[in-house]
Amino acid sequence: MGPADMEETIKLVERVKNGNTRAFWDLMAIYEEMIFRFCYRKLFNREVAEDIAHDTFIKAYEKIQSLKDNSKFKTWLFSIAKNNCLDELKRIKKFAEIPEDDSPDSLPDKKGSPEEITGVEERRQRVTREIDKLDGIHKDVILLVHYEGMSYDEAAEVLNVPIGTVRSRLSRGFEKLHEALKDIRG
Amino acid sequence: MDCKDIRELLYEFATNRLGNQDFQLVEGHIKKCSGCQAELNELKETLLLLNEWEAPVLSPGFRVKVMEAIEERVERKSVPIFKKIISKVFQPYYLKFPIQGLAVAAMILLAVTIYKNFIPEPDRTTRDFTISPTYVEAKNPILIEVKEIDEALNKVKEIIKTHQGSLVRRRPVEGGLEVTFKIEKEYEENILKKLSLLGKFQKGEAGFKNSDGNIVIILKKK
Repeated sequence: MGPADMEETIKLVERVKNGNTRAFWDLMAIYEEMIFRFCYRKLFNREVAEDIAHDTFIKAYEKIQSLKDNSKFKTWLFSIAKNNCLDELKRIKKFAEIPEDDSPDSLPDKKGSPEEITGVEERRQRVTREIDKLDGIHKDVILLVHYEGMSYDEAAEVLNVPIGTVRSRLSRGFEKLHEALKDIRG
Repeated sequence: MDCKDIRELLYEFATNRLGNQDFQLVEGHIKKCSGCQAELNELKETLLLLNEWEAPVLSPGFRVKVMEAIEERVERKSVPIFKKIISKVFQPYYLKFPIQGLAVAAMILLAVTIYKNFIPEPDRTTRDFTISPTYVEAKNPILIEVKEIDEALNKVKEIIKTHQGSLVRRRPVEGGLEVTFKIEKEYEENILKKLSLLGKFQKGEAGFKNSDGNIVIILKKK
């Protein structure tokens, strides 16, 4: 997302605040994929991720008047998505649902030798499993900064922590992943 | 900057996010520090693995569904308050109809109860009196002398009612109250007997009926 998108976002948010529903369509065009990806990587289930992304946009539309700085729309939207995902994870944990097909828990546990883990798909499964094993604080920062390309400033706003904390969590998260994935790294 | 500080910048260095000055700082450190160099290599390998995890793309109708839900909410909010109340009263049908049916039945029952208990029963022995063009008054009404006219009138009404008759007219006349009533022929003899018990009873052989065939009496105070 470049400066042009940011300028466009600011204008679109203003139009939505003034009652232009069509402008929200254009906002979604910019952000829907990244919100969905973030939810998917948090929840490991496509359908649930779509539902949570859906609720995220509905909530954003309903609460948009409370957004004081239009330039913060992106981080504000991600905050809503993050909180919705957390609620969903709590709900899943509470009802101890059977892991869905996409969940890393349901994948075969193949932490074998490099010879055994060669295929791209198997490596992908290992990566997702190891990311899922990370603490929420390390996982969130990797999802936002690495996968969604956020700046540290933006990630700090979403997570409501100082930039230094984002940097150290990212560093610590990657350290954990180096260790966990050392048997399949090139 | 020590190795700890440099390692916190390695991700930004590896992904070209650092400003020029910091980039050169990290680059210079790595050339001299084998530990950080090894750390950077590990990070790059890990990043390559992470990049293999691709998320699926959204379903094609996603945005349309969200916008439909939003438009529905907007419409709901713009509905006037009385329409909201109406819609709440009438939906869902499978619940509201039986409840409304019961409510209506309860209201009818309540209304009937109130009516029976608190509204006085109308005088079924009276009715509107209309004079037809050919109407002729009774020439010789029955005269009954009574102690109290009001008391006697109540008794007359009671007698008429028990004989399934109806009061047609009552009007003050000189010296008393004229009462006209309608009665079936079969009860006529009986009712006259009862009326004769009210007081001094003066009845001619004829002329105590008007042209409509209704009996006319005059209650006169003694």
